[in-house]
Amino acid sequence: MRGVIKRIWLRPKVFLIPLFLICIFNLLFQKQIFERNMTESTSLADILTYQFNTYFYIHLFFLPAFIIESVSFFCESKFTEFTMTRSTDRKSYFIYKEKELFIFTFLYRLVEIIVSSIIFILSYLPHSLNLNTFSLTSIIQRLLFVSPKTMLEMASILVCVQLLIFLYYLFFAHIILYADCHIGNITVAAGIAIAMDFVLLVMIKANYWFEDSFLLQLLPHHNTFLEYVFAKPETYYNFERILIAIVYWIVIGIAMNIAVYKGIKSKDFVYSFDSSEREIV
Amino acid sequence: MKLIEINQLTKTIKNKTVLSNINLTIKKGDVCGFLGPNGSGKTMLLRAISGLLYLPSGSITYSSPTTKGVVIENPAFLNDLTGLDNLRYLASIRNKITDQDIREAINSVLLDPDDQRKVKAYSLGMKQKLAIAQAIMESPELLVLDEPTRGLDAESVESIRTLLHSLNQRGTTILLASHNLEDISTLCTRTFQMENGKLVS
Repeated sequence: MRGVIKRIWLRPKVFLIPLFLICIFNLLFQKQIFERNMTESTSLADILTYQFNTYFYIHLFFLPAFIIESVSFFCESKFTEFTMTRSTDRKSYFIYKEKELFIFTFLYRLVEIIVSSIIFILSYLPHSLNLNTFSLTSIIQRLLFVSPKTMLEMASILVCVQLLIFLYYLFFAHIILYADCHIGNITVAAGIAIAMDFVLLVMIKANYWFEDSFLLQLLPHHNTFLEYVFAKPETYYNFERILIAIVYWIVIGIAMNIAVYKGIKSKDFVYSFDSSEREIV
Repeated sequence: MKLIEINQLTKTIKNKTVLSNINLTIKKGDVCGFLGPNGSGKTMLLRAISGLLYLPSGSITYSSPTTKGVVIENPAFLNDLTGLDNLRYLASIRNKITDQDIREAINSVLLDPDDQRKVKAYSLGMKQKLAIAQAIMESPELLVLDEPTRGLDAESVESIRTLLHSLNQRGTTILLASHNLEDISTLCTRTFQMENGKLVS
């Protein structure tokens, strides 16, 4: 872990631009949630729980920023010759990449949570510092179909939601690594991930197409956004349902791991003469 | 003592056979030179030995897990970092050497570790020296160098040759591909000629 942190630390520029973007996106997103709440005081729990249900902001702003950031960090082009030959074999190179991907995504998400909280605290909390800030307001409860009764239940919701978001980001990081392995061009890798991001946004917008389909529960947004996870009355904050969503992303994560491993195992790390882009072989 | 054994190695890329039925044994402490015209397969063979190629046909076996330092033609770095930071970045992967070791490696190739310029401002020769520094900084058991003196001035060439010679004296096995016959004749204990992806002598 220390190695990955050191590598991120050595490339502050990679983090500065996304950090700036995260701040801007948070201001926009928090403005929206304040407007939605209008009559009630927005709480920090609202911000942290509802953030990922603002599909528009997530898919058009937060995820593309993460994708561009990940591409510039993971896809090393010809520099890979130096990183790869420091591993004893393909398996250890795969483990190195996976570890890097996992820690990077975790830290990125941690930065997003901290920035969200700081912006909320700076802009809002001085006016209403009370314990209610750690519970969901009724408007958000109705929107997300959750109604935590105890502090413990609220904490479990927050942990589960953050875990779901983390797994969702991890999925996109894997898409980038997979595309980079198989196609060998960082621009194309970023393009594929962003295209996937937009496809998922379209799926959400066109959700009504799938409403009668037996595949409904297998769709990604039905396992990520609480509004869909708890869409039916019988699933109204059902811990079992959120556990299924977590398992869903873990299974997808494992499948992506296998795909990336196969890609790394059978790849020729051959690069073109003059360009830093990969030669496709 | 045997370090690497290559058996019936054949590699095809885009329907072109780049390596054909290579059989070779390399002992610990050898300095092997590979000669041949452009496209003869020298670089591909070094890539294969470095683990950069997928090898469905034939095998490369190491007698034990071996640490490698590799320079393949036209090395590329993270352009927005200084030379020292690039090497710090790479050293963090194995996490086995100190900052002082990295500085010593940079000094040994006649570069200044405190040079604040980003790598994008480096000349071809400086990048080449930095690539050699990254290859030697962790004292690997095997050095794989493709055209190591390319783009270097006469003084630097001499100093790199001295450096490689002293590393070999300390037990490092070196594989070298070069068009420069003087590199091969002054450094190598074994020489191989390549042609059309084959070892011909």
